[in-house]
Order: sequence, then structure tokens, then C-alpha cells
Amino acid sequence: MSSPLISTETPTFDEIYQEQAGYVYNLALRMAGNPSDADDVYQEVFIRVHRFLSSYRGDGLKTWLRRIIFNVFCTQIRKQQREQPQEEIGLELITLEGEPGTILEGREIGEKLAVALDSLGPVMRAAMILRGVENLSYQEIADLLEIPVGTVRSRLSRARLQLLSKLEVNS
Amino acid sequence: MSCTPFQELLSAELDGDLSEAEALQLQQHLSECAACRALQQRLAQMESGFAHLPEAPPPALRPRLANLPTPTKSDSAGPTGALWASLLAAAACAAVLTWTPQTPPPAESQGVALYLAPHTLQAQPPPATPLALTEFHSGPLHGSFLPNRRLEFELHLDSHQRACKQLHLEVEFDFDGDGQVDRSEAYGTFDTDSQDGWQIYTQNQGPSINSGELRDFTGGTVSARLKDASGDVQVLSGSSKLVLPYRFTG
Repeated sequence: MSSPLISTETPTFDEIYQEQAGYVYNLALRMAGNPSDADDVYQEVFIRVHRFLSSYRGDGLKTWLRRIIFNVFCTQIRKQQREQPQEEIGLELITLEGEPGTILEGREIGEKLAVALDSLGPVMRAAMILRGVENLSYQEIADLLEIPVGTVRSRLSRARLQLLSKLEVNS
Repeated sequence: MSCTPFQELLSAELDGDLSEAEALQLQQHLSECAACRALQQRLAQMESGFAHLPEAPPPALRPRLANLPTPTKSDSAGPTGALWASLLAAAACAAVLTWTPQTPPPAESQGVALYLAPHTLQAQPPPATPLALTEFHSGPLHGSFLPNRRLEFELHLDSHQRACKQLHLEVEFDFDGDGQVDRSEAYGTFDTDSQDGWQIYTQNQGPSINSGELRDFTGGTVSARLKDASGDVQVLSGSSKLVLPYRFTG
């Protein structure tokens, strides 16, 4: 059987689950910032995959899954923001508190970066994940987040400075 | 000059999003600013971490999801937009699913069809006839259970000018023919409208509630009942069927 990623035939739910569960969960984990919320996103994504499989047109399974993951993530964020104060999405002045120099390398920096990402606010984290992990273009991120391209650029800049600050403080 | 505007340019540089003018502007600033040169290096170093983010194994799907009927390729070819409305909203009413008339019969690996005929479930499709019946029973069955498959059904229903709300299908299995129900499956509710015309009720209408385990048939039987169906509901034989997750041997 050919991979659903390259097949023009609509994959079955089982095929998607077998092949993409890891991708879905890890992107959900990066987006949500903690395992509990990630699990909620993950479960809901597969409910929607099942529900909307008939609408999938074979034009990029990961793109389709990413949009579902992001939509579920946004729903979760809206719910959380109704219950908690609104996130400050980066108007604050960011100062780099740590000492410049070697951060870390390889796996170690990956682990530290994951912790730093989790500490970002959800909106900024989403932009950073879509760029850093999913390697989307500014335009693709702007389309997904429904914000101007210029905002993507400034948001990524703030996210990077925040991340660097947290990494250098923690290292 | 403040370094703040150049911090955004350093970020955009990592993304390859600098215009020619911006790149020149940044280079000029970097040639004069040691702090921003250091920041450029630190950001690049941090960026390498995205390739090394730890990955976690995915958890299992929760039972609510794992127990739901699995759509097949033929399902996904048809319009099933309201597939899980009843699951998500816990609502009984959902849009009517339509079935592609050209849907091929299920392959052997997907199970065996039993057609609704007067009072019986039988292997051969009977002539198309509206039946004012709500109970159907198979004869003795012998066959092996196909793991990873689930029961599918396609019932063509019409309640004419009198809508019927929240009818649902119950299927009972007696695997060894001892008269005891070994497994039962109750499916999501379906509403017929008050218009003449066949509507199609399938397993995708909503989650099923199951009890007992599926296992091989050794002279057992299957019974299908349309519950809470008013007397006006008719089911169309010849088209209405259950596809059992079995390979029958007799």
C-alpha cells in the first residue's frame, strides 16, 4: 500500500491514524505546551479527521492535518482565554537577561528549547512552531493565523527574543 | 541608534525574508554594532534547536473514539459532512446521509452482506419491496470474525408524511445458537422526514453502544431490530443490508 502522503486515493481513518498519530501528537504537544492539553487536542483532531475525512481532497495530508490541529488548538485557546486573563501577545519590551555565549548544542538545546517554547504564550508559541517546526512561509503562517504578514514577522521576532532570553537564563 | 529595529531584521534574516534594502541596512548596522553581531550568532545557534526538539510517543485514543465505527474508503467517497454531529453535540438529530448509488458491494475482506427480506436476514438480495417490518432474524450462521472490521449497515427508510424521530437499530448476536444474546450493538438515532422518499441510515449516524465481544459463529444467529420506529416506517428490501465483519463458511 502506498503512503497516504503521496497517494491520490483518500486514505482511510486507520491509515491516517497508523501513519500520522506521532506527527499529530507532537505538533499538538508543541502547540499546546503541555501533555494534558496536547492530549485533548490530539483526541479532538482524530474525531475531526473521522468526521471530515470525506472532505479531504488528497492535496497534502499534512497540510490538511495541520489545519485541523491548528483549528482545534485555537478552539482550546479561546476556551482558556474565556476562563483566564487575555494573553499579552508581545507588546512588552523584551530584554535579554542572560549572558551571551554558548547556549547548548544538539539534543540538549532541543530539550531546552522545548521547555522555553512551552513557556511562551500560546499565540506567540503558535507562530514560532509554525515557522520553526513546520517550516511554513510567512504567508502560510499569516493565512493560518489570519493576521497580516507583517504581524507574523514582528511576532516571530519577539518570540525569538523571548526564547533566547529564557534559554540563556536557564542554561 | 537603537538596536531594536535591527532585532526584527535579524529574525527575518533567519527566515530569508529580508528585502535587498533591508539586508544592506542590517549589514551596515552589524559592521558597527558588536552586540547585534553577537545576537545574530546566538539566534542562529538557538534556531538549530528546532531540528532537535524531543518527540513523544502518541497516546492511545480514548475509548469513546476508539470504539467508533471506522469509515471505509467507500464511506469517504460519499458526502458525510454530518457524520459525527450527534457525537459532538450529543444530539439525536443530524443531517441525512446519502449513499452513492454506485457504491460497490463490500469485498470479502470487509465482511458479508445480509439483506433485509420479509422477517429474515438473508445472503441473497431479495426483490426491492417496501416492508412495514421492524424485526429481522438470520438463519444459522457459521463463520470467522474479521478482526479490525466492524458491522456496517445501510437501511433505506421512508416514513412518508409522518416524520419518525430517534429510531435506531439494535443488532443482537447469538454466536452459538443457544438462545442467549452474546453481543448487542445499538446505533446512533436517526430521524426520518415527512416527505416521501427513501432516506439512508448507516452506522455512521452516531456512535454505537456495544456489550459483549465479537467472536466466531458456530451455528449462531443475528437479529436486527428497528427500535422506536412508528408503524409508518418502511424499510426497502433489496437495498437494505447489514455487512457483518465475518467470513462465513456456512
